[in-house]
Amino acid sequence: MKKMMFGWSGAKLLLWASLLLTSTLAPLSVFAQADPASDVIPAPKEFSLSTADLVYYAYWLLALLVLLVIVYIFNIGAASEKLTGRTVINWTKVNAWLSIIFLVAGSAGVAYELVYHGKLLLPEAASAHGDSIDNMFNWTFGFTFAVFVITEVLLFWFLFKYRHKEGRKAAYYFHNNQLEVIWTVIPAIVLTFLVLRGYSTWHKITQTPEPKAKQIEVFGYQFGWKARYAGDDNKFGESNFNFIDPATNELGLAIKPTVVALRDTLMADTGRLGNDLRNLSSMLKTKADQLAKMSLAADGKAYTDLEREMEDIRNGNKASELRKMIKRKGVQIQRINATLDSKDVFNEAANDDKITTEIHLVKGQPYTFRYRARDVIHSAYMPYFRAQMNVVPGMMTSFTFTPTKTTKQMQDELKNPEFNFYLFCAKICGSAHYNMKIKIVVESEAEYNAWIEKQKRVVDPVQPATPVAPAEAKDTTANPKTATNRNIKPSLAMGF
Amino acid sequence: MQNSESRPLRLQPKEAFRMNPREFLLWLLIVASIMLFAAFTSAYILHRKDGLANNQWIQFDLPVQFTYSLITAGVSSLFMLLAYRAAKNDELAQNRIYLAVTLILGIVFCLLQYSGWKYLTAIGLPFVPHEDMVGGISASFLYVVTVFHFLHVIGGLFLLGFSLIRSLRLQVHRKNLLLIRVTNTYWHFVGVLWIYLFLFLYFAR
Amino acid sequence: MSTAAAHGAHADAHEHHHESFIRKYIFSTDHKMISRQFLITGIVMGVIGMMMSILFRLQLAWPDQKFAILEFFLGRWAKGGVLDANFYMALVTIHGTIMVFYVLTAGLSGTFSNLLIPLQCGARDMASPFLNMLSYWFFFLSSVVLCWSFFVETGPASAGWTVYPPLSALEKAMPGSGFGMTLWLVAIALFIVSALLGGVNYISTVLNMRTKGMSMNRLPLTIWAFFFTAILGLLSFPVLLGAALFLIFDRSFGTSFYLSDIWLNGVGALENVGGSPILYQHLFWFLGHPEVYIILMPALGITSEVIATNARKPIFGYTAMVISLMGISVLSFIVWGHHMFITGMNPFLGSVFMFLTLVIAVPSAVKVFNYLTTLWRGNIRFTPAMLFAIGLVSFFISGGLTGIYLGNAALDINLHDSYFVVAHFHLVMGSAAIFGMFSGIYHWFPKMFGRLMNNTLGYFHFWLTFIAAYLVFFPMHFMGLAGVPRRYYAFSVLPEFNVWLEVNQLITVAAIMAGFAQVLFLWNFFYSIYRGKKSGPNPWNSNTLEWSTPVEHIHGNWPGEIPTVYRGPYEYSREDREEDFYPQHIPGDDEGHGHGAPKTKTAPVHTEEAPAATGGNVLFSALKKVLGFSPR
Repeated sequence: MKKMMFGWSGAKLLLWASLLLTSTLAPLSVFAQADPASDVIPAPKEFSLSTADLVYYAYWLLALLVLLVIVYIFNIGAASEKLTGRTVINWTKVNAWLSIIFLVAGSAGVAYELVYHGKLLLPEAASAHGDSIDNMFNWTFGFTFAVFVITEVLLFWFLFKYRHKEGRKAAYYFHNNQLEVIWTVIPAIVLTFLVLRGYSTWHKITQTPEPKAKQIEVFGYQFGWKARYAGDDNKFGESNFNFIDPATNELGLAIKPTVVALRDTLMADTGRLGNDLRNLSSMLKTKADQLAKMSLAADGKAYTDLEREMEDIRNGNKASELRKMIKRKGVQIQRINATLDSKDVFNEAANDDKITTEIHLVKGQPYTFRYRARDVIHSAYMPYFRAQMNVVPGMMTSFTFTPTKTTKQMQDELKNPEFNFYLFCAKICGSAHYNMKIKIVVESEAEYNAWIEKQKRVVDPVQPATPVAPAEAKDTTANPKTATNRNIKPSLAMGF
Repeated sequence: MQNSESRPLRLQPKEAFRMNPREFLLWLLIVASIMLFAAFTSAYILHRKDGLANNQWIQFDLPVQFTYSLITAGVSSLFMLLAYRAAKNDELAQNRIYLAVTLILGIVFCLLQYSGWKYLTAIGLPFVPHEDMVGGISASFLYVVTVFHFLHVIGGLFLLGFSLIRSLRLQVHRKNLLLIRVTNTYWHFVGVLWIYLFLFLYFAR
Repeated sequence: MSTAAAHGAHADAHEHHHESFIRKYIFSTDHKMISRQFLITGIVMGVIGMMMSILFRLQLAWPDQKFAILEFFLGRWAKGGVLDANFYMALVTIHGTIMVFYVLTAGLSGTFSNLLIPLQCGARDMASPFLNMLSYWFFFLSSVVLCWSFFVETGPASAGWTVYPPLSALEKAMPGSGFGMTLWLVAIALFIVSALLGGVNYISTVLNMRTKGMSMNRLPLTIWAFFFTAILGLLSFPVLLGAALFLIFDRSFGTSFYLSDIWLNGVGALENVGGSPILYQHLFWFLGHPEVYIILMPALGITSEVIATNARKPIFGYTAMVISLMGISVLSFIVWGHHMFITGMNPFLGSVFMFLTLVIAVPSAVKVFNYLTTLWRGNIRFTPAMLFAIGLVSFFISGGLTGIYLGNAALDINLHDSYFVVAHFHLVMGSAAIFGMFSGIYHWFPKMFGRLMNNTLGYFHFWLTFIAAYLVFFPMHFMGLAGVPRRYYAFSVLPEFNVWLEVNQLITVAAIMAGFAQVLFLWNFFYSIYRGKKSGPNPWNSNTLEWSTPVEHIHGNWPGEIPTVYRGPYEYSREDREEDFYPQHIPGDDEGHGHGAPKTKTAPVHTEEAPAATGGNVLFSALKKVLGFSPR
């Protein structure tokens, strides 16, 4: 039975597996070509085609080797076992030794990795609290690594030592309260230590007030970051998501002329959309005429797109979509109108704010980043500062830290003149999630002052924005409170 | 729940039973359902706290229909109890009548709930808040909670109807109590759930 | 039980042999068949999930390569042979969903709970075989819906397996949040129904349908694990259902449970106010954390059984093992906040969650030490099942220890959403649980199919997978420590991460190696179903009840009376016995360690029998009654 099974199955297995391998791996070499004109992913410089090829061929060889060994063992082993009735391969021995080999090779691998990428593990912290995090990390690492080594060594050693031997009986040993207590209490003590230490570290990072901290607003959106400095008055202007206009007011600041202009654009839009809604039937006719002049063969996608648009008009999807848009814009107009007269919102504080595409920090100065999101949840991650905080729409979050090393210092330390601090997104937020970053420059006070001096104010003091004709402010029922900038929403976060 | 596959149950050695496994299934499903409503109500509490702090939570009185339905639920639970006791005492005629009354009260309950929602929608508190309304989320929550309770009641009505048919076939009696016991338990659960939800919605407006 | 009843049972059991094909193989209510259905569906889903991981691993290792063959298979998702960024997200999302829910929840717990609970407790079938069948078919439907989402125009859900709103709630936020996301939610809702129907059955069967003498302290640890798993599922899945329902309302009806203050590109300011995206995270992780243990605990249970059987030793500290399972279960409900340390939560709460999270390490440590002591002075047989169980212990140690870092709020600031997290959970709940599943498959294959799998192929499968899994996931720790965030389509935009390219290539090669090893498994599995060596009734010389049933499956499991249980399940290598095992059902005077004499159950006896009534004949007889026929 066994012989028959592996006589042909081994060969077939080989065939199948090689087919699978070819289909997954062959493209590496056969079809692969460098991609010079990719606009999505700039090619990393170090990468060369030959690496992939090498890996590919090595892998192929390895796979083939493994397969051959398997087939050999099956055919010879199974057949001779059948014939002679003797064990050719003592699998107990093989597995026992393999576990020892695995243990040694695995330790070697870990050691190699620690040395090889050691520099990158927990790179030098560049913030004040970073050291306390690293300290915590080292304590945890000490304990866990010891446990890791002891238990893994015991596990594989026991496998080797107590492997099956004919005639030996295992110990009938099933219970020992003392032992159980020991290995409940010892981990408990160690963990108590780690918890207490972790608690003090956590407390220090999150709950120590920094009265001298300077505030910078970091604004996350799909897909990028903007920073806002409070300007000369050291006071952030109010902001609101209803004021956002990607062209003129990206952060939705309360700048009256801009917001009024946005309101007017919205009103014009609403009118236009209303017209569209009324003229749907004539629009359908125009499109039908257009379609008549096209052909599926010649225009392909354009033709089908047009067909789909017409279908949307016919089945009423277009109309309901238009109505929805009109309604939505109407709501936005209402909300803007409700706040326009509020002196608390339009308090001119936003005028001297500065919106930047880089974050510049002064070494040794504590900062509080206050985070605001435009659309979905992002996460502001700065590994070198050991800082991360989620950026949530409708809820302001913040993180306080002190940079302790300038960019220049880090470049020297890492011997990498290209090095830069970045803040990047760590929470999945859409297709370009991987591309969402903002450069952070840490420098001396003088350098910082020179840089911030060069940044443009939101409203230029020399040439004030052209005054817009006073709009006919409508009375609305909307609650003005919703439209004002809400501060950190504590209740939900604290409720749980 | 118990129309097919009764065989393996009968094969079971009787000594091992603690509780009829199928009745136990119902209790477990009730636990699952309690967890669902726990999720709803804890979400409600969180939102409410947050909304009140930000002036984004409309407070409104429960429609009077809900009060009526509360009474209806109580009375129908009472009749269910009577029906069950009648079945236990082999009073088959009473059992049928009480079951029918319970069923009718259950339907009345559903109608009352429906008219309660109609009323809320009419006074401007629909499930999906009007776009210019701030804080309509409190009404959204009310609909979610009550509609899911309503779905539970519908399930209960099916169970009641099934029991009634069995009862008409004279298949509900002292020696055949499983179905009516399950119905009884479930119906009381649904009733108690509504009392809880009503009080919750009343006090945590 | 009277002899007449026993005869009746016998006759009944034989009646079931003559079933139609559909009743026997498709809409079967037999727990053994349902278990096989779960297993095969789980394996199919596992293959899909594994292929996806290889696809995105290719992208990570060679981001600038064109794989023409990908375009051939994936069409517009891989234009020019380069994986689309949106599709990359979809792959990551669906890989996670499939592995977490479909393979490791339904495939693992569904398979082995169904197979072993009645067999090891000594029951003829589940409490409600009908609900059990429904449970499988809901799961099947759910799998189909999930796979369907690959064929919708905007692609499957791609907001990560946790589908945080607003990203998942706004159709225009990314293509994957369109119809694909709706399908994902429908699939998960169906899945929850399946999990609940299964779970209530498992609990009810364990509590109410054990055979004579099978007191709770004689239950094998597998059953304990499945029992706690089912309780966790029962309490946490409804909460996920609640979270999903709110999300469905936000997406399809326009409510604002999770939405507030959003300005979306291409849409403008949204009208939604007053919602909170953080609420979803609370609800999700209230399920999400127990879910980790829903995945892991059945694997731990299987491991306990396999290790004891193959080390030929009683499991060390049976009571401690049960208590630690219980501790893990209870704690798992109050630690969900550790997924949310950096969402802006109150720092004080952060420290509470940190404390509770690290407490979980204690019962986990107890389990590991007990496993080690069970091996100590054993007589270890290297069956493939045993090797996989050992693999689980190894992964459980490596992955569990890194949990101590991530549970620490202060360290989590830096490690959150980095590759360190990926490494951690792939080791502790991915690899460990899948190894538990393999262990169970190799161990109970003879019970499921009456044949043995090939050992040699099993050894190759184990060592290749074991080494590959470590090669894949261990280096990720180092990447995470260096600050590489997860779910990145390419690292090339951040030049400092270029140094990790070769590590990524190593990982990908190892992943392909792991995929290749699974071919050996698939071959072994499907070949052995039909051509494997025939198995005896108790091929591993095991103690538990399932090996007292005939090899050939019969409805009702035991041809005669259900055997009575006389002792605990782990009486291996007793000094007073010649054989090194002592099955639970063999009568004998002494009762083994720590367990008293067989208790006579004095629980109330239920006399009623469920009437065999179908909807049709109920209606018919109701009609007869109305029309004035005599009722009887």
